[in-house]
Amino acid sequence: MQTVKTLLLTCASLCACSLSLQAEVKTYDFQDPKGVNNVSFLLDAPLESISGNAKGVSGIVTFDSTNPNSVSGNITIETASLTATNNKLQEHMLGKGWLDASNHPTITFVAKSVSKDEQLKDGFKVQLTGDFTLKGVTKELTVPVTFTYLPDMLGKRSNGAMEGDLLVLRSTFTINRSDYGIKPGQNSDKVAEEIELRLAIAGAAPDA
Amino acid sequence: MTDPPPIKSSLFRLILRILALVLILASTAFWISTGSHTGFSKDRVEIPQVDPITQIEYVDYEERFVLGVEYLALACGIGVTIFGLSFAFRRKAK
Repeated sequence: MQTVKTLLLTCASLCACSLSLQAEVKTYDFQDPKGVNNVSFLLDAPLESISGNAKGVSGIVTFDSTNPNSVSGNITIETASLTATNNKLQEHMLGKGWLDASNHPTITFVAKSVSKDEQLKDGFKVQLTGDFTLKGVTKELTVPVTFTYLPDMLGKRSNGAMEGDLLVLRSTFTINRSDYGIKPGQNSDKVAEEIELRLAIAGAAPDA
Repeated sequence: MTDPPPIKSSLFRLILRILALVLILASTAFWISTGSHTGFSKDRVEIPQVDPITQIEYVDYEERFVLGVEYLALACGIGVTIFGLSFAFRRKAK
């Protein structure tokens, strides 16, 4: 009788433990109605510096606040949401010769693996490896990403409309436009080969 | 005693020089009034913002034209050319 009781207690504690562990794993939606999520780009060529911003960010990331090595998900940027400060420049940038936004409407990053780099006060710094697709060309990239976990902050951000957690991702990395077939080796005096991308996005995981 | 220079010639010279000066000054004043932007012209201006909850820095755009140095250089170039042309209408030597 004592053995059965012990077995039942063990099972119950294992289930409770498993549930509490599962509770840490949450799925964050990066669709942002506030228009805060953004990816900025900078091309610094000898004759011209081009910079701008993209706000059409969406995606899903599954994150365990106790185990950053379990991160998975994807982030998508609408190519047409790339905005420059000059209309003519923007028209050229999205046109067929450069990003060809009509035929390649999205830029994506799909996470494949992650390695924890550093524990921060409210998150982690990791090296995230994934498939980055731009203008139809997919390359594997490893980029540094900072995860900032903001528990119970969704209510504050949504003025009490929803309760839940927020996850902020920040990353700065550089790609080479030639690698993605964007006019390789051409116009380098005005359009830099290297594109610096800065991503700052927040995802929400509402309480069930 | 020589004849004074024809009125037409000196008037042209004066008009051209005033036109050059007005063009250079007006374009410089407009360039300064739109923010003395040292890059190329902008059709919209970035307004930096910070989200108070997530501390994410982002930009909003204000649709406003900002004159760039290319237009300033063009206007000054035309002004200098007009000023140079004014020397074609020289006073006759006494």
